[in-house]
Amino acid sequence: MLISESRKTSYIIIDKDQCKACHICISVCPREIIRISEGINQFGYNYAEVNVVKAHECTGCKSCAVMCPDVAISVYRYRNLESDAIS
Amino acid sequence: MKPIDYGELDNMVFGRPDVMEDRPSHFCAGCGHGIVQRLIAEVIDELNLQERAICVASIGCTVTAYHYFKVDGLESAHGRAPAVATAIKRCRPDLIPFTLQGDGDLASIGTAEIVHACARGEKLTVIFVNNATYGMTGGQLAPTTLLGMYSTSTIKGRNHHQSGFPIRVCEMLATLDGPSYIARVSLHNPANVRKAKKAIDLAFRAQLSGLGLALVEVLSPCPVNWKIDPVKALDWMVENMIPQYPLGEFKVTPEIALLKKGERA
Repeated sequence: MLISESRKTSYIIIDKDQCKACHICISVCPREIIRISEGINQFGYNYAEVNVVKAHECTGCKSCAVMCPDVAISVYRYRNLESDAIS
Repeated sequence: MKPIDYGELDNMVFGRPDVMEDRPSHFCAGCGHGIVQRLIAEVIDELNLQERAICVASIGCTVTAYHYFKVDGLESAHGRAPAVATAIKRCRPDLIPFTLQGDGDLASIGTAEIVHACARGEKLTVIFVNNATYGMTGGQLAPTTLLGMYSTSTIKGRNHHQSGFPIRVCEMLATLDGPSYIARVSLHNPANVRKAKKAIDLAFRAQLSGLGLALVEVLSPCPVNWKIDPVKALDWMVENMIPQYPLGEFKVTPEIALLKKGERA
């Protein structure tokens, strides 16, 4: 397991069929883990997706989800982590 | 929003509110209406008002609000949402009507209704989405369009000799005695979206406590009619709209101040 893999605390899921490719999530993400996909969704947009290479950097700050006008993003945090044990 | 338990592995910390329908919105890419509707749905969820809230939609981009909320809804005539909501509140004081209005609705054809609803001190919640243009009909001049701003009816920019000056609704209504809470918030970054949610939450709790009319003006981007891309539209709001429409609370009665303190304690 990579060191970065063990630091993973949270992740986001983007519902591609709700996305309208406004790029707001990309502009507000502090870790720049979101990018535009080459695929096309039901509206005909190149939807936003998580950059797999950087996905482990997600801190679960919810900025992308809070700003998404189409409520396409949901945020999850892992349980049973060391951070939980400390808190 | 209830956190959904996916076993021991992970925990949902943000998702679609229960009160919101699971369907794609009809709004343009980057439109602020989706955010406003989500904030209202979250507040209804958190205050557990799903069975008592009534959405009074108006004409404009807010017209299909009943498609997105799993609460009872009513469609009012153009600009008359505060009057319809007044009727609901007076007939059934146990219900919680809220109006969702745009600037073409509340600030132009509905000015008389909102001014008199405020003057009467009706116990309503009004969410006013200000995007400085007539979004649904294709970007014509609205009462809130900025001076010098392009619209399809002022193609050389708004000129006050011809089309007058923009209206600051919050400042105007704050001079009346009826309203209990009047605030202006913006959606240009995550921190301000969170502040907007707090203001909307307070507006609903003001009605629950039986105080006077609570109005929240939300500055919202309309990238398609402003003809700039959605990310730049947020910067444009900071540079142009917020100087004209300063953010803040314009009227907070002592009862509302107590309500706010109670939240923090």
